[in-house]
Amino acid sequence: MTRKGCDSGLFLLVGTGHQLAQQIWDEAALGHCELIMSTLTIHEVLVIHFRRGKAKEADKFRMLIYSSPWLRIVPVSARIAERSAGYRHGLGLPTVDAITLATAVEEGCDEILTTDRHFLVAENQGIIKVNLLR
Amino acid sequence: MIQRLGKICLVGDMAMQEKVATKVISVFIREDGSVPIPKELLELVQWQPNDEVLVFEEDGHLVIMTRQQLADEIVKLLQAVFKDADPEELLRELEREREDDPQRL
Repeated sequence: MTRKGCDSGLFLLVGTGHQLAQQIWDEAALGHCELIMSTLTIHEVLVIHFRRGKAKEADKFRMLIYSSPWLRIVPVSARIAERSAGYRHGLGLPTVDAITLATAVEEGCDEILTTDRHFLVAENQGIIKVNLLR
Repeated sequence: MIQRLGKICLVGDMAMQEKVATKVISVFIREDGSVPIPKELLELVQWQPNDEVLVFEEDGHLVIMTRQQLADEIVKLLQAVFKDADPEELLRELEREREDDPQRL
């Protein structure tokens, strides 16, 4: 089964009707691939909920996401912190992006799904395939 | 036991239910923790023996649904949160949140 790293952008696109994002989401739900995300993605998506005054929905989102077997939520381990420091310094990535990238690499993902062009440098450096969803 | 919108919710206290109950059947939890669900309820939600379903707890209730139903539930929730939002503006908001770009420091 393929493993796809993802960042918060995937959830924003799924929630705004982006066709490809929705297709990937459904494929993952049906067990055709596994989505790997950092705990920081939970942080980012919840912040967006809170900013819109959607605390109740945030709570439900959290509960449903933790119940989804096609999602693997990976905490920031020492190895991920160390690798992400290198990406931040060497690739000039913001910290959250560096951690998301390090998470996908440490978890052996085949590609990373993102809406953020910052990640393209990782593909240019041969680190991981980047699937830019925008 | 309540059937609603293609899901079966097993609840401890029927009085707590606000949803309309279409079928209520009393069953007993087995020694091994499994819950026998009568065939007629499975038929109502069009589930077959050996179908995979996900079981989890939500606000003190046990919820059972298929993977696709859970996936759709998350999509519906996100759509409600981002209703009327401009996708590009949402993505810019996300990127602004990450603005500790070393080149800008």
